[in-house]
Amino acid sequence: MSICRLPRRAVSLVGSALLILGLNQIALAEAPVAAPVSGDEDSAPPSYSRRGADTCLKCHDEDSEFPVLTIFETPHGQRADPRSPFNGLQCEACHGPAADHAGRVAAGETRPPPPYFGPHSTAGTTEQNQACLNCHQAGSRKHWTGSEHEAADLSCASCHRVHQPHDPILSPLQQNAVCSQCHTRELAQSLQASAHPLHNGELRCGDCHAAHGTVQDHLLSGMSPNDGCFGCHAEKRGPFLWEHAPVSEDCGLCHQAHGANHPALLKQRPPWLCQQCHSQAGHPSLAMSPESGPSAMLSLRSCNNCHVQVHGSNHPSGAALLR
Amino acid sequence: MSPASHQLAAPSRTKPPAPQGRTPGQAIRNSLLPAWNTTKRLWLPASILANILISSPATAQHGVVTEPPDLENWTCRYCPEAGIQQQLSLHTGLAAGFDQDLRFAGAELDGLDQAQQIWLGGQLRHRDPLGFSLHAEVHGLGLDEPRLQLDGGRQGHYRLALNYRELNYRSRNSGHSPYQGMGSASLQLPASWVSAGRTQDMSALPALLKPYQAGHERRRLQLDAAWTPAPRWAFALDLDHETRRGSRFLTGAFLTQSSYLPAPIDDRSEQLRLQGQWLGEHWATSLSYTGARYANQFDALRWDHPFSPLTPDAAQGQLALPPGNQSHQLQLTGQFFGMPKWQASAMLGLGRMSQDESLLPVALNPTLASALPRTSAAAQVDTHSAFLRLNYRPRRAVRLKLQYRLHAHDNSTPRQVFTPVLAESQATAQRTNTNPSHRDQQLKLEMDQRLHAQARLQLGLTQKLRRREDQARRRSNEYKLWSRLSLRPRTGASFSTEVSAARRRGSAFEPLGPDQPPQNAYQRAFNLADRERLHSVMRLQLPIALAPGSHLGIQAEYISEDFQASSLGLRAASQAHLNTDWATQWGGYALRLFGSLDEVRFEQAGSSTFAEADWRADSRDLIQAAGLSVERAGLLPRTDLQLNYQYSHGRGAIRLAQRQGPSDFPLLRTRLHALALNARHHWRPNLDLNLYYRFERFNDEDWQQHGLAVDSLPGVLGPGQDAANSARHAVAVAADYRF
Repeated sequence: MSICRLPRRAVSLVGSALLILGLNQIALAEAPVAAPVSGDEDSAPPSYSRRGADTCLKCHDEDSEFPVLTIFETPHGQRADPRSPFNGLQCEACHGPAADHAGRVAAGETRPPPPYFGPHSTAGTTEQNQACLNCHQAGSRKHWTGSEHEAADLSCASCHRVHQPHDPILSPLQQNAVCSQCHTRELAQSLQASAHPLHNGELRCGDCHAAHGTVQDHLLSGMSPNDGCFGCHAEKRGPFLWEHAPVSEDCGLCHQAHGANHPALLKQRPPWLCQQCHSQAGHPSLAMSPESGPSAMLSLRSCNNCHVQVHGSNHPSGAALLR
Repeated sequence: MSPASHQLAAPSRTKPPAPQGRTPGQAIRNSLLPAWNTTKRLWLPASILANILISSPATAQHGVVTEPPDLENWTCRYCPEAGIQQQLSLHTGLAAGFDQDLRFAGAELDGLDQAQQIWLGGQLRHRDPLGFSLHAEVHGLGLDEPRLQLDGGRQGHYRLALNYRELNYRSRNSGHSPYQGMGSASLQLPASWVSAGRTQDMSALPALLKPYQAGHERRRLQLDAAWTPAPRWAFALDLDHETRRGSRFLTGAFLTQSSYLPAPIDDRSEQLRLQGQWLGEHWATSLSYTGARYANQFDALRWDHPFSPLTPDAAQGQLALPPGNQSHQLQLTGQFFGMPKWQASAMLGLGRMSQDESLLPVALNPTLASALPRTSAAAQVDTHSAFLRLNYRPRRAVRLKLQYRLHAHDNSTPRQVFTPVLAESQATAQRTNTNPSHRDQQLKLEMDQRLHAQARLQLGLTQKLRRREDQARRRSNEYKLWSRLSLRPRTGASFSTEVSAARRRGSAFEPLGPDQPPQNAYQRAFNLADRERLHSVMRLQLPIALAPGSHLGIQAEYISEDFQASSLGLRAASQAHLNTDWATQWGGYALRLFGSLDEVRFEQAGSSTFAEADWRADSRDLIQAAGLSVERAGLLPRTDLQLNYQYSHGRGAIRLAQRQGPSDFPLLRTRLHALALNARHHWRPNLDLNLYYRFERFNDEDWQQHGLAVDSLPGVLGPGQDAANSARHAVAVAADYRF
């Protein structure tokens, strides 16, 4: 077991630090944290508006600064669905009890924001997300808590636009644009010489990544790093009679999935990529210089001019991945 | 007050209330404090006990909750009429391309394979008060990449969706080949072909060359069905079917002589996913099965060897094409969220990948025919996966996370001795097929502490343990320590910085089996070697007072990998990324501008004498990218404008250092300009006129690929590809009519 092999010093240092820092919070005085939306502990809990959505829609019509009527063109606005917010607490199912927000405001005072969502909401990300998770707990959100996006303080509303009739991140043509607002490095890579067709929507970020959390690093879908790749590249799945070990381990060892400056999305081009692992007898690791002139070992696909079956071979004579 | 408590107040919601105010947990904690002051040794166990008690559901029952509203007064009379909503629209257009194969990025048409084309499309949307809905959409009928989408059902009860799409891929670089039957499984040279020992001596080659364009067409059909028989149950079925047809260049070798072969692509794959899911008060679980199958129309590619045969019977070669395969995965996933302070998710998975295609003969050469140890591949890999994540939140401001992951990839293909034939001309030393297997374990410990309302600190330790079979290093172990500080002041700005340091070590390197070709003893494969890795990221986002919604973002990232224990192979690698983007809404315009700079460096060493390192190669890729998008509604009366421009410039430099002195390879260059302009004029309430313009210029200079004629290399009958240097324009007009 891996735990048994952890160096004792590292375990004791880091483990103790994490434990003590966590438990310290119980034993020591309260530190200032995000203000709870309901105010201080002694104040009355917030209350709901008197008439629900009718209260909200008196102001939030199409002419207001924050029009909301398009919600009725979305699944959230369908009253026929027993699970829909509009079959229950309506606007306040997500925005929280909003009597204060809807109430009268004295001249010169600022209208308090609704508890959750909206540009002036004081609720923390976790609390806002919980408003969504109250209904959307299951499905692909099972691994949300503790996932990379959750740990990065992303709220559901960072990516989703639930008031728009067509949430852009659910649209095949617009999803990548939403993701690239933060993932600019991947956007730049997708414009490189060899890239997956990310910038014209033929491949969506969601085809490989599960943004709500997975068991893999980098939010990759599937049980292993290669599972997502096999969805489109099923011919690489094998297993082959003659395997190339790194291929079965992780496609990302050789390929840069979002785009690269080298053919076939390779991180580096042959022969140098191959020479990062291989120096076989009979194939001395030649120092091929520009002065050597065009040679089969340097030009075109270099090593792959002969070793074409680099993903594995099913030929009885394919031990060297030549056949 | 957490949202959960609001939901609890409503009759239809059943989530437990979160504690609020002065809870019994606080009282317990306070009662423990004196004990801590007097007996510090009891502090830790007392704290643990306090945590457990505080987090128990029983204490949560005492929280103060919002009074439920009187829903009878919530009539929603201002809500839009819940009548039948229907929308039908048709669009048609005429596109003219100055060149073919221009892709219309993200617009309403994808693919234009003729100089002029007319296309049709339309969509129908229907929704009624009972929750029934239908959405049908067709795009690009008449173009070479049409799309069809059908989606309907009754919300909250069932849903059916059907998607069909054609995707075409064409290589930017066309080539040449003398073969007949290009793209088939049998490539023959014309009768007038003259074999020779060097390509330059193939006298009939110039007259027999024909142009060749590699590419393939994907046709993808997806069927999704979902059924919600009860609020707690959900079932789903997803079926994907895909076919690919086309061709691509493969290479076939006879010793040191190789030929580029226009090989066929004709395969199909299916994937079926079934899932059942249950959502309870405190936990959710799902069981899913994923089955996938791949079938190739051709199991082998046979070609005429264009060079002078080594023996009279070695005039043809045969390559194995990807064999048909199948995969099955069963996955049980669960989530527990029944205690306010504890959350857990877990997964158990079993899988099997197998492939049992008939094996090809060891050689076409009849004089070398020999019996195989078995007639089919009988290849099989079993996978086992397990995952557990525990999140513990002792206080609002603190979270601890423990995560464990196991993935085992056990290759159980029978090991048998084969006698490979080299170049159809001689049997080589016997080889036993290897079964590379690996078993990965990952353990993560993380602490997330909100130091202040606007500041957050995260610390973590990750251990990765990997065991391998049939590889030079059987065990590797990596530790990573990381920290992240995030600041999010209420001004709208945000700043985060992350630093991690990782160190990988492992067992001794060992030579592979006796029948494996020996490798230089100094060589270390980079994925197995000792490594020190540093990773730092900084992200800054600043609001700009220029206009509401304006912000400036800056991101910098640096990764450094050091393999100093490897004297041969990869010695060092680094990646640097700098990006800035600016978004604003100003005077009716929505603008976004970004620019980025990426640098990727590798430093590696090799030996031309099969001994210690005597050369070093340094490579450096530098990529600049920029983009601008502008949207303006009502630029002209009733006219909206959308403009998108992207630019990318990549440069690659490789420098070789050896005893004779350094030398530089020619620069690798790629450059892309892409402009998309859409203008939409709302001519009448139900009629829009659209104008599309696309421009794309792409050129690349790759000394390794381009400028080499088919016979430039004596031992390789090449593809004769030219550098891509294209400028493409296309204009389209379309009308969009809504009934």
